[in-house]
Amino acid sequence: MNSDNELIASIITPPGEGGIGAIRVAGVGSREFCSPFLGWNSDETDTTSPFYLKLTKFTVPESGEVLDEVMAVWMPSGKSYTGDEQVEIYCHGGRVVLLNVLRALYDAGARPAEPGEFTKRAFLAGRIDLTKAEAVAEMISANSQRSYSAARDNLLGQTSQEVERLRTLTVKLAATFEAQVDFPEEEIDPDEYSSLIKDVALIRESIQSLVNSYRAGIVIRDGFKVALCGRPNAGKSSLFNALLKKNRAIISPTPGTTRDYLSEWIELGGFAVEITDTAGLRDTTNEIEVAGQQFAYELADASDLALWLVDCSSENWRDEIAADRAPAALTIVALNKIDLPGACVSDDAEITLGGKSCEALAISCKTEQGIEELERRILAGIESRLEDQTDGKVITNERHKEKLAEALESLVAVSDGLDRHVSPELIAFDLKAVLRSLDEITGKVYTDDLLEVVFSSFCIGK
Amino acid sequence: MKRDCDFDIIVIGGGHAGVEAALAASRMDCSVGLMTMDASKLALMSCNPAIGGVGKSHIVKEIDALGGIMGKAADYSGIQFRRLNLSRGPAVWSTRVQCDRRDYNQFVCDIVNGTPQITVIEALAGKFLVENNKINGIADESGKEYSCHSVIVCSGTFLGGLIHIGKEQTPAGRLNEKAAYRLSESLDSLGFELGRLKTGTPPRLAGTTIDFSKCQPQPGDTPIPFFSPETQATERQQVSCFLTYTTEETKRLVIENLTTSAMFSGDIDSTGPRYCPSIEDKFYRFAHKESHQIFLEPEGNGTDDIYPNGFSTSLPEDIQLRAMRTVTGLERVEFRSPGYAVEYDYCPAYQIRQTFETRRVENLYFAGQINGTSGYEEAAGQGLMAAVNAVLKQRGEKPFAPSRSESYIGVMTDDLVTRSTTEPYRMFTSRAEHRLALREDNAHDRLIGYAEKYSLISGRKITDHRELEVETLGEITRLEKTRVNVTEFTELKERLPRKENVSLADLLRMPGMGLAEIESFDLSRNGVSRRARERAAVRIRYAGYIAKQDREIERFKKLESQPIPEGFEYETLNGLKNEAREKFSRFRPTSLGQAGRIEGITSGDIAVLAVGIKRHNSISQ
Repeated sequence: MNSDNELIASIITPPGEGGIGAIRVAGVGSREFCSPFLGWNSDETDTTSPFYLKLTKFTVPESGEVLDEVMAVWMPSGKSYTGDEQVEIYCHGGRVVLLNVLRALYDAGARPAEPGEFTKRAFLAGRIDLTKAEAVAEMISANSQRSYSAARDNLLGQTSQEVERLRTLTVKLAATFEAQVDFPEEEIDPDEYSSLIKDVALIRESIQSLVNSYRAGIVIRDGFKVALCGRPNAGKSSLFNALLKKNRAIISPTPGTTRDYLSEWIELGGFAVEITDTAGLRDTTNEIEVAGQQFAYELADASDLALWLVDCSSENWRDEIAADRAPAALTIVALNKIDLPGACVSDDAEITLGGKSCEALAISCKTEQGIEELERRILAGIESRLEDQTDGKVITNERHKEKLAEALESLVAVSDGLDRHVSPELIAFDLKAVLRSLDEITGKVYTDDLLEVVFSSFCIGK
Repeated sequence: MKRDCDFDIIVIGGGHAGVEAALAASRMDCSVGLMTMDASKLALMSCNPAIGGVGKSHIVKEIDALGGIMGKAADYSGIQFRRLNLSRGPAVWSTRVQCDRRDYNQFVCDIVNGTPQITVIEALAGKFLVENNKINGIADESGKEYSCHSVIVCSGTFLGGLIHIGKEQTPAGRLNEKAAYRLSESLDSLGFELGRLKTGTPPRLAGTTIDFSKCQPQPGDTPIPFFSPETQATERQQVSCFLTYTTEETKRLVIENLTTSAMFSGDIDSTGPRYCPSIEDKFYRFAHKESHQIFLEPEGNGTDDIYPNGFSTSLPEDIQLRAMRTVTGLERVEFRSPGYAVEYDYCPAYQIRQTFETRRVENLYFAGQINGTSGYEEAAGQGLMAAVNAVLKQRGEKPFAPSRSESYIGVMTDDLVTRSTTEPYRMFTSRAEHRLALREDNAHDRLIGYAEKYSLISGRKITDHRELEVETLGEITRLEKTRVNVTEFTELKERLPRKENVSLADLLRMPGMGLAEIESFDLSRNGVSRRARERAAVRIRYAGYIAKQDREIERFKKLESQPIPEGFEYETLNGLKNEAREKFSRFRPTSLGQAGRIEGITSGDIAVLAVGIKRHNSISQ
């Protein structure tokens, strides 16, 4: 368990659009920590009264940028939900605003609350009288750091139903192998064996599609991540600004200006999109730049969509992109600077970037030609991602996804074992690992239902 | 040991649990009174004349590692030895020994009678002598009192035993024997919750009236797989069992007469084991199956008694006989005795601790069927555990509680104290989540440390085992290092077309390869014992899975090592669901891991409990 004195911050309102979105900061020194953002005096002369809700602006102290007009309240130690000192900030409900405010708090040193951590702290402090204990126990076990909306509950219900269905199938399968181990007279005939292989494949497919749905799930929950990348001076920061429609990134004609990275949230078709401007990718020996570039690739690889910018007014851009490594993520090549004389535009819908065939698009950040089309393409990327969610079964919880991935790994071992005809206790070993992973999602700890199934399906015993 | 009592320990019941308890306590230098109704019937096999089988054989090996008698008695009296599951992996290879019923019993009687610390008391136990919730001794049914420090109850089916054959009901623990009713009353008056369980046994057949030519012989295995490493050979004549089948006529007869069976007429409502169904049950519950296997098992060398395994029944005797005569080869069969069902009392095992001591009465221990288990092996394991713990408690030492990750005995003990009994508990390998690590071949490795610590086995056996382990490790190295030229063997060339040479260990890891299969490629194997070679082969073949299993065991140990303080107050623990509160208070788990194994408990409950324990500890510090 982490130190209970650390400052933690999280969004405490349900995801999605709403009138108000709330962020809670908890831990010793919450007020002092938040004061610079809220325009409160952080010293002894402060006049902020506890439980006094005040209208103020949330300002990033370093840049002076106002992120939102907010209401904020301070709750001293011993008199809050968690028992420790707390500040709650009520922002305008948009997801993008909330995420930007939260990021500012994280940048200043708060850390994200762990799943169930607020409840855990409250519980440890003896603040909550847990008469409705089930609810809290479930909250702790569900590892859900937010209170879920009714819609999300429904979503979760569907997911756990699906997990339960897969579990039942796996138990049946495991029982077949257990029966063979504990009752040597039981043998599997070859026909049954091939149907067992099919059953494993079916379970694998279902789990795989749940794992895939997480990609859709996190887009709904955390937003869609777009990385701007390409060689230096291709116009990444200009595009960043064009997309933000405001001047935030520092623009200069000197290649390599953006060594660190900048990122901002925008809203596109109702989705939160995080745009990240990365360092230019080129051959360099400058140490800082090398590090920046490596990081840029990491960002690009991990993004949902990489926009690879190319200065198509440069003479040998075709050779360059042939030599560059494409990011691992879905990539769109944007041929920038088509407004310049000498720009050599390609009409191809696709272009090969380092051996990878990518969608291509001509744009000009300067004249904004093609920018709208680019936004449409980003939206299309989001929508294609949401197709991963099948019949509403969407995984939004990272722990669930990890457990499902574990289950999948064990199922691969099961398939492999079946192919090699390894003995049944080894198949059963891996099937039990699948069950354990699934049980960790639903919160079951220990079950004895395997033998139940064996007893009811096989006429066993001499 | 204090000698202010008649005995240090009194064991009630001379069955498989009772004799292991008495012998273990005597090895730990205690004086033991072994109370039994008939001193000539020690360790009698009331049902099947066989020891071992899948899962059970692992317990026998563990008992042997802890100095118990069961394995040696089976080896001595064995008339057919088999290893089951040889087509599966080594973790589930299981030894099963068909025994000469009389010689098994005689062997145990001789050992017990030759043990000076044990006094056999021929009496029917009647009443527990208890003062301040502490046991002082026991009175027999005639009222004679015996004082002692601890009592271990191994009452088997005799506790409130009632035998059913059709509509006939007779108070008895075994056919034509008495039952212990006063003892049940004494338990009841002490406040123990008693329940009823049921088991059954088939008729015994006269072998001379069977046409074995119509049945399929099933010989034993060679080399003979003994239970105990101390057994070198047997002089005894080895015999075959025979396999036959029920017919359409059997099914028709049994189904037609279902209502006359004690099991189906409503006379018995206690639960029987589903894994050992009666013939009535088999035809009723698995109606789609037209025929069932019946194994004809000889009961010994000097007798033609046959045990028809698979034909347990509580039908009226005349119908039993008619039905039996419809089985192929049994058309003219005669009975030596009829089959029957027996109901008996047990005490749901939430009432005992992991040490087998009852929570209600100090120094009173339960072992075997009284805890809701079934099977000789399960009973024997418990008897041994109860005795060791009773002695340790008298000495003021820490209890003996091997964990689920190191023994089947540990799995059984933990299962007993964390679940409600719904049917007689039998061991299955699937109950052991760390199955791949709990093998017959490593039972001694797993438990010899305990055996040494409690002086349960001799120093020589410990040295022998250490030497075997050194030899095994040497053999593993040899198998890893010895390379085989693939091109020299056509069969290898076909399977490994791209390899020039492989190690013997690599060969062993290939599917379908075992010690026998690599023999022809292994030219440098000299003087390595068979046991060492087998042990080495298992470890090599299983290495990958054993490593995975070890990681799981590590994870398992984390929760296991978080103790719940004795007497922890669940009533005042905030946030616990009522169901969880009830279960925790009932089963009183000793660790977070064990708490999680109680049925119906969720990880949420465990989280709340963990937080509660943390608070409890920080307050009491």
